[in-house]
Amino acid sequence: MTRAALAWQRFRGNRPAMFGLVLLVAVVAFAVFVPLAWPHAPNTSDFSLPSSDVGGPPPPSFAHPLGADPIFRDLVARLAAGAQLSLGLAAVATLLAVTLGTAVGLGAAVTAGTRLALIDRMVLRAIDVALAFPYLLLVTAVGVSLDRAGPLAIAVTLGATGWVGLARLVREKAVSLFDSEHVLAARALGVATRLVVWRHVLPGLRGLLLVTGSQSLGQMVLAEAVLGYLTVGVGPPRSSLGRMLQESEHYLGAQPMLVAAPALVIVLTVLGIARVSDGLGEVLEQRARSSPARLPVDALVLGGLLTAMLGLSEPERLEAPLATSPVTDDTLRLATAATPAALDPALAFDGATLAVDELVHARLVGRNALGELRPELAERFLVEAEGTRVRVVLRRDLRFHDGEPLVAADVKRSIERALHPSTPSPGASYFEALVGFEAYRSGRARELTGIEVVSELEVLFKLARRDASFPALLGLGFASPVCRSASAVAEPSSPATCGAGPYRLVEHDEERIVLERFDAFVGERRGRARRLEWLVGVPVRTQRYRFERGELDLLTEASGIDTQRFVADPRWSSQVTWLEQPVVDGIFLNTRVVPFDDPHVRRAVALAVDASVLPRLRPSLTAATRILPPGIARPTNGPERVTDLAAALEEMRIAGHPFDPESGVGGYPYTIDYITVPSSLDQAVAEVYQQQLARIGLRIHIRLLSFASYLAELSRPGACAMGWRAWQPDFPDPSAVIDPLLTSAALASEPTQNVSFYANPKVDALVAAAREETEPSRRLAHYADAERLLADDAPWVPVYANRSLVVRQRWIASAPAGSDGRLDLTAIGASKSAEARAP
Amino acid sequence: MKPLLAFLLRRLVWSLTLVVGVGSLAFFVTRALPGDPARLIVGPRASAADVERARVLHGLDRPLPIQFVRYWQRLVHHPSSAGEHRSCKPLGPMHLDLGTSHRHQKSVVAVLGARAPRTLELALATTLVQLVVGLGLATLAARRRGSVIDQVATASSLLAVSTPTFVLGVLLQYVLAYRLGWLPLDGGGSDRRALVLPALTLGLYGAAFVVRLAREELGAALESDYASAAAARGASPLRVLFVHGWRNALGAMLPLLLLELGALVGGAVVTEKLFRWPGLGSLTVDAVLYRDAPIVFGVVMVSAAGIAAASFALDVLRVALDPRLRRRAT
Repeated sequence: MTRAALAWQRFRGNRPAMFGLVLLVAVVAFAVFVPLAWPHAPNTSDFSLPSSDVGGPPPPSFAHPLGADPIFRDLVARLAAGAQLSLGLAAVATLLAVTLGTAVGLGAAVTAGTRLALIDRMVLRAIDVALAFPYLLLVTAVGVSLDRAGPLAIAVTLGATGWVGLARLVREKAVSLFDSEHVLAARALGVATRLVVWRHVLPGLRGLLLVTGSQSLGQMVLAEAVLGYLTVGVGPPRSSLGRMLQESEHYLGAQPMLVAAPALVIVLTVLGIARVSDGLGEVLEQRARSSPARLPVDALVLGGLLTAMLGLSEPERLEAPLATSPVTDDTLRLATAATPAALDPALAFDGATLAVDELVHARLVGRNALGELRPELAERFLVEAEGTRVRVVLRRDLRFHDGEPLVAADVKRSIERALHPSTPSPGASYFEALVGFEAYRSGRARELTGIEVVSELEVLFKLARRDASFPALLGLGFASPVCRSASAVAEPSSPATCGAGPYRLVEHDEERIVLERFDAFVGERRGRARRLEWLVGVPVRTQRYRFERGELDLLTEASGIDTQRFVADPRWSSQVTWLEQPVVDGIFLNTRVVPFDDPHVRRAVALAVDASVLPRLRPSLTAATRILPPGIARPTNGPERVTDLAAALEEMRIAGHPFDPESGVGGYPYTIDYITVPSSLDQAVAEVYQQQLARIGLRIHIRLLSFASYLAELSRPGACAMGWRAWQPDFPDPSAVIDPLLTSAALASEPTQNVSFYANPKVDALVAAAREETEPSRRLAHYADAERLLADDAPWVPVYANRSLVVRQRWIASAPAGSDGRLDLTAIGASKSAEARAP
Repeated sequence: MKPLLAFLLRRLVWSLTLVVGVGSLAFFVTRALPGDPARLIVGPRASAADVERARVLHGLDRPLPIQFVRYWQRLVHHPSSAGEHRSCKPLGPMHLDLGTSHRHQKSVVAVLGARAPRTLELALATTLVQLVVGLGLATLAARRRGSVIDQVATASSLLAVSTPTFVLGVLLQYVLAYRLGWLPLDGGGSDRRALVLPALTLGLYGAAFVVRLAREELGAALESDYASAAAARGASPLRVLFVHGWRNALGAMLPLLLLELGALVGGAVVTEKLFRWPGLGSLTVDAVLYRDAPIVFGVVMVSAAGIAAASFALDVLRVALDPRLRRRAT
């Protein structure tokens, strides 16, 4: 018998190894043959399928044996395609790793003990350093920099970073082979080193390479899964096993199959590889078998696990609402997944930080629920001299949290602090209109002359030009007074947490933020709850669990599937409210990049995108049809975007890219990059757009970028043709939407928010007229005209708005919305004593 | 004694070189990432002028080699040296300075210092689980080699190794925390029991390797001549197990456990993310995604230091425990 046949016979006798081989063959067969024969495609959504009875993705049915994924694509098809990709990727990576490792290891071994022994030692040291480096970090970093990461790039990354351990093993074995008798003999006879390696050493390494290579294969499959989970692996809409796990993590309780199916394939594959690898090791390295295997133990263990999993796989249902609170105090408990940064009004700019900061640092002016300005710390404000002067009169007896009185000089001091040249302020440039702004910001002037302290309670703002929106700026955090104890320059490491708001900060660490009511607050928005406590950085799933157990009084960040659960469950229906937010999510189209320089193509996109399927993804999504979001003071009748496939195809035809939907011929010939960030919702929505735009002949490639890269790409004029763009106006006014997004004046600022690089002189003229117009209805009319022009020209396509669900416990009477769609936390009572409990 | 000291000194120097090498690698890896950290500090709405100001403020405008040198210079310096000391932490007579995190806007030393104890806790707990479960299963398996218990133990450990960490973690969380409610869901609060789930997740995975290794050693030890001789002389089975079995097995397991511990000091990325464990691992991926190079550098340094310390401790222990090595140490 040949050696190979002998080896095979020994292998066959090893039951666990054979079982592993069977597993492997089964998985490979699944990956290869199912995509060929299966009627459903892995990347096509079918929104006609019914959602599950808790509102989750479609459960298993006759036509779809494993059900469908969160955007309604058949799971079997995706699983097979994913297995194909993951296995293929792992195989390529392993091949690369083995090749590199052998080359380096051999190279080092050849030089060992010779004059070039230094190379060997250096290679060993380098291997030690490389092994000490966190592997995951390296792969993530490489994955992040190659942002057009196709599967091949991922495979090369894994291979190029995974050869190190192998190199060391190869080197050791090769060194011992070099010391063996036949090699020494060959060398003594004068055989060249190259030949020695080829004929004597490499064959000796065969066993090691096969065994370690197969182990490596298993590790590569796992590595791909981890990369996919961290969203730095294969990009959408392709499915890989890791990606499927990441897409389905949220839905674990509603549709466990989504997680179980890819997990099972991964486990079976890696287990099979491990068993085969062990078997190979026994056979090739002449290891004694560790124990004769009589029972198909693997099968039993797996079977046991599967049964247990099936037993636990019924969809999770919500707990019944608690009738009474487990604690009795006057603290309102909330949680957020974000980690608010420094609570300094001069520096805070993200939503999570602002929500807390505005309670600690009261603003000079605020907004009511209709979005109109109303005084807050200021008792009144007056616009004078045709919009070039704004006079603010403070209330009497205002106090800071440290007990000091708040007077006009504090207002000036605080604004100067926010605008100080050394303060890394995110929004200083808003105040450009102030007299002396440039001189102060460049450091030439020691004070901001545009702010004049007229008397103890009166401040006069002098503007260099007319600006009808200046009073709105006084509602921003940058104008919020801070205590005298604050530093002259705002610094993130020591934020000015002492202000004049209805609550004061008592605790802010990695885990929680605690605010306590400031009883000396003068103003309308006094707090009701005595204390507010936020747990920060809590994942949304955990927030729901905590809420069900009564540890939280309000649930403000429910995941998509949990939102549907709460909405659908009659026991909770009296305790849920929707908050409408003035945010619109849409697609920006770069008017300077082909093909979107042609308004017909842009209009085609606006007509092809269908927002009506989006509520199937998340019930919180509603279609947004206008550029100006609801919740701001906008013209009552505006142009509404409609979906009309026939009209879209017609626009494409006019543009010179006719497309025939039946045959799939025609359309725009090149693939267009669509940039977005890796949040699960944005990815899912992008994949839906991809399918919808394919119907009119526009093929897009989804590029996932980290938020950092996304911002960087947006500001480069020629870089991206289209992508996700959400816009939340800084204050509820059309000028905070149209001016920064869609005018040519906006192009001058750097970076520009006008990422469509849109410049239309008619729109510019309308906006300029509105800026000068002091009569509100005429001003609104200008914006109405502008909105119509913009809807027709479609540089930005509004698609959906994401409402947020607020669920409150029985003992919280109401959860009213304040301005800009956020909860008004000052109006919520948290008293949990017996008398205060609501029925 | 002198060759021994020389050996240890050489190993110590090597450990330090390792840390420096890894740190430098980390520096270049993060600086090579595309994206602008200054932009991230001030946020998306700030003007270019604001970005420039932030860039200068954080020293990001200087050329790469200068930043590199500056980093190492500032790492450990005397309190009286020039420059601001905002991000320094006193370390005996000197200052330790790892820079300021762009994202968290605090000194890196402060951010790491807050999280390092939790990571250490997790690392130690994980090692305990690995030891207990690994040794326990291995003992069961080794005593009756070839039996059903042995096969189930081996199969289970193989299964544990084949499962991605987060799948195991999600499964454990779902069963033990959510359905059965025995353990808290994540590691945020002050509940000490929150350590159990992440430690179990990581530990079971590592225990599988321990089982494979220990089973061989134990099996060989228990079947060896001297064990039989001891039993023949009247030693109780327990004593045979302890003295002859475990001592040998521990000797083989020690390198594995120690190096694992060293690696865990750098934090376990996926597990920490899953269980919201406030350790160093969950910092890392976010730091890469946000180009927060100082944090990445800091975490890598801690991780490298952990591994280097573990290697060095291993060298010391090996020499201390094995008289043959002491004589041979050259």
